[in-house]
Amino acid sequence: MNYFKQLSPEHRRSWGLVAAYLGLLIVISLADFGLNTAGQTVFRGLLLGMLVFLVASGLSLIFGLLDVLNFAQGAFLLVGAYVGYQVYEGIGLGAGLSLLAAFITAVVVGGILGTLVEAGLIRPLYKRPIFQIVLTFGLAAILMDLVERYYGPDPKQPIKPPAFLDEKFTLFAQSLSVYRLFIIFLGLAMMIGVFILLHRTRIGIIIRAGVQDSEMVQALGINVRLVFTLVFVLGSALAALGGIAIVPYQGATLEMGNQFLILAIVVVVIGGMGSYEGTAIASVVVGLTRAVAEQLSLTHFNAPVLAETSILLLMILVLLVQPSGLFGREEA
Amino acid sequence: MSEKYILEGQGLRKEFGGLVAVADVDIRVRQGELHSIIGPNGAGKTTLFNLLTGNLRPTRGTVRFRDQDITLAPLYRRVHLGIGRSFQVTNIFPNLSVLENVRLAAQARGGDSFKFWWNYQRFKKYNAVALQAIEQAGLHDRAHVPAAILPHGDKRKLELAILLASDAEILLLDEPTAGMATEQVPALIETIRRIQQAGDKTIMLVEHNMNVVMNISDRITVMHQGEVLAEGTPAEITRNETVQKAYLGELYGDFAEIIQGQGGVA
Amino acid sequence: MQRTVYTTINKIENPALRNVAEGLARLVLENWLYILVFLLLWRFPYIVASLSDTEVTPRRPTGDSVFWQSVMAQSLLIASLSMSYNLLFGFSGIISFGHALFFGAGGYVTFVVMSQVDGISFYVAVIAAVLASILLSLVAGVVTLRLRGVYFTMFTLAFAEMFFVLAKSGTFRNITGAEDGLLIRDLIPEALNPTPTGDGSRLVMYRYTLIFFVIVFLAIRRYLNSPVGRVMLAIRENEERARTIGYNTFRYKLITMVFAGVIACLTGILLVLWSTDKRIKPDLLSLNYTVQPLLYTLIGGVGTLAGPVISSLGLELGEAYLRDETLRIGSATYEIADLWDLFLGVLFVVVVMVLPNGIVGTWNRWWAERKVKRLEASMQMQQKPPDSAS
Repeated sequence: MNYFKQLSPEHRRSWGLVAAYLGLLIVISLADFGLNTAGQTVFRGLLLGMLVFLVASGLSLIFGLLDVLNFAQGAFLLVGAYVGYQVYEGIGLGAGLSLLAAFITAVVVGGILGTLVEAGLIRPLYKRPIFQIVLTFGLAAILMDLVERYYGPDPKQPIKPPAFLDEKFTLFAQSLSVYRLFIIFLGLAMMIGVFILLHRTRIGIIIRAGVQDSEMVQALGINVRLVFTLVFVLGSALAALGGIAIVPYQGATLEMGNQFLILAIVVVVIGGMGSYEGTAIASVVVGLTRAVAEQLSLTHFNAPVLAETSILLLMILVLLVQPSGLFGREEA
Repeated sequence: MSEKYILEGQGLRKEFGGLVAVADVDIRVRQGELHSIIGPNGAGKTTLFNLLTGNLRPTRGTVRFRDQDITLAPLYRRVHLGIGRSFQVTNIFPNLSVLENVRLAAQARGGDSFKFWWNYQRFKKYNAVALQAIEQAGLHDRAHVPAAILPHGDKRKLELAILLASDAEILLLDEPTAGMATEQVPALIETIRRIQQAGDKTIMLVEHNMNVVMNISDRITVMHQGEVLAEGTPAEITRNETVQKAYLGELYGDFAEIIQGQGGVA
Repeated sequence: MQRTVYTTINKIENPALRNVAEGLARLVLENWLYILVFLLLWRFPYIVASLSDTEVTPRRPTGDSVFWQSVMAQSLLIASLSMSYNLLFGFSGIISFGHALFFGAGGYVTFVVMSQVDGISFYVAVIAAVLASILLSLVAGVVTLRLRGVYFTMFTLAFAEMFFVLAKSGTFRNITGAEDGLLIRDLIPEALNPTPTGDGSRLVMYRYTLIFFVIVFLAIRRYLNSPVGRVMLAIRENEERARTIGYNTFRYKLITMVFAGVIACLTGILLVLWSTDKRIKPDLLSLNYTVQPLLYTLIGGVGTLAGPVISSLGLELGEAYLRDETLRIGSATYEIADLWDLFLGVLFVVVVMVLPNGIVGTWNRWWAERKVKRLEASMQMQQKPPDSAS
């Protein structure tokens, strides 16, 4: 556990805080809902956390390296979901192959879109950061408008995963589709995959160095442009992957883009802009908070909407106490 | 006892990461004197300066102004107490005119800044103060020029005018002659001296141009590697053995040269 | 011409009279374009009426003049909203992605209060809405204005989105009407209902709206020229320096946010009154009403007074004019109404990429550059030729 030895005292404290907070959430759910419901709630939270992570990791990495707040991440998720849905419906190769094709197309389309956006629109604006923010924000609106125009305003029904992913298993006295486990597995795999990419590969080391100090990396004679594009593409592809992953589970709706963008923003603020570990941990924190709050407000107030507010309150709290987030760099 | 000290730093320390930029420095400035801080680049002059002005928070130590602890006071409050500063790198409002740059400083000290229902031109007193400050700094023919297109020397004068307009009791000037053409320096120094003598202003000055400092300072503090090496009148500093040892031993270009040749020049 | 006017005035012997004349002359000479535009807008219903040969006051079927009164009034309101957005974005450098919150809060608070509290007057409810918008700006400002810009931007987006979700949620259906919204037809005071009923109330409401727009325009102009406005200018130029010369910049930004929030709130109330279905709907709180003013501000010119007005009026009226047209490309025909948002989106991207100062900003910059060049030239003339020694 080299990682923990290298931690600064502040980050070690943050780890402690997170552990205590998650423990508190679990204790509250156990005490309030009983074992089965508590288990289901935690499972739901974990699932949501993994999905949010896919959008948030891109947001955080892109900001950390490029200093661009990419508000189009939610739109990339939306595009991934709808394009994947269309491929699945159109291809007709049986559930397994169709779903695979849908996943691949979504990721590829997300990646291509990311390349185009970075190279064509973001790159000319590196000297005008305010306009970058404004541009990604406007771009998100345009992309969502296009999706609505092309696919219509009605929500799409969940698509059927192949049989082996559609099997049922029982967890905490609830019968669930294996597909949900698959999402959690996928999220964890991406979490670990990107971690390995960042810590074990040359490109990853450059990215991390760039997050620390992008001028220094430039001074070392590395083609930073290319690294920028790569990170942007990675971010958009991950968001699109998140989009298609949701479809077999909840279907696709136009609101999804903004919903996940907001959740991702909360995650990034809590985790700390530019911190990968922070994003990963905060995703779980946000997912669990949301699920527990939803369950609490359902059982006590019959007002599921209050869960939405809980996430925001959490964010306000973090902003007030530690504006740079749990694992962020300290900013003046 | 500390009656006559207007600004005091006690045990000031600033660390950046592991690097100690300013190491437990005590500094006292008397009312009405012109006090200079000198030292080579990287000696911690500007950092010490920023600690005194509030642009940086000290890791340890306190800053007192007229016996009032202002270590944690925000920038704007220090201005209202009467502390004004200029920057080493010219730091102005580039797209505003010279007059507006100075007028804003004057307005900051008045109580009208929150009156959003009046046109700012109504408050003519700030215009008058600003024009007077511009005159004093020697910029009278440039009042309506956008600050960004001023020649470098005039930008330094603008910094001075801004300080004058904010009616500070103590002016902290960070290398006021930085980047100026050599032949313009004496005029600016003359202006600074005039300002000090005209009002009962206290001036604190960071410089590495030794010639400037030796002639006009009442007291000098020499800094080296984040610490105070010596403090005293220009004559004392010139004679000080520690200062000579520290600088003569090192190949510190103009510094060593000036210390050596000081007697002859002055 | 200006000179002749002023010299004539100077010949007036009576000093009091001379001052009055001078003030009047200055008012007219410096604002003649604005005054002209105002008069045109005031006569607008009659101009349309005579052009289209319809009546100013509606009978059924409603004529063009009546239709365009509504379009122009709503465009003026969108222009007001854009101006308030520009006050933050253009003049203060505060990028808020939650402006829709203040806009939507206007309609929601006013009419929710009216429907919940029996016998409360519309005007009291409006005051409640204004107070609510002040409170919301203070909360948003206090939490985030001290932080770096990106955090502020993210926070405002999330904050506003939360209220959008709350307005849509079924939990509060009996208060807000959830997705369907709240019918407010019976809550609107008679005098402020622009729905055509033949008694000319639409024309009156059109004039109220125009007056509101003029007040907003003048208030923002005065604000920018007030001591506070000058400080905001300084903050946009160099915030650290503004602090160093003695301004508590946080407080100025907060005031500006509150001011922009109040304008947005009032604009929102008026726009609800003009809505055809007389409902407050969650859409009022949606991102649309943040994107739209942002777009118009950028296209018209960030940090210019007239820019957002020109682009809002131009594009809103343009859309209304072209709404029923179709566009034929090859064999395919497209409804303009369907393509409009896309057109705006593309326009937005193009403006951000190639015309970052917008229409009015580019124009102003061109003039300013000419002036600076002349100044620089005259300064070089004054200066002695540089020393050849250096």
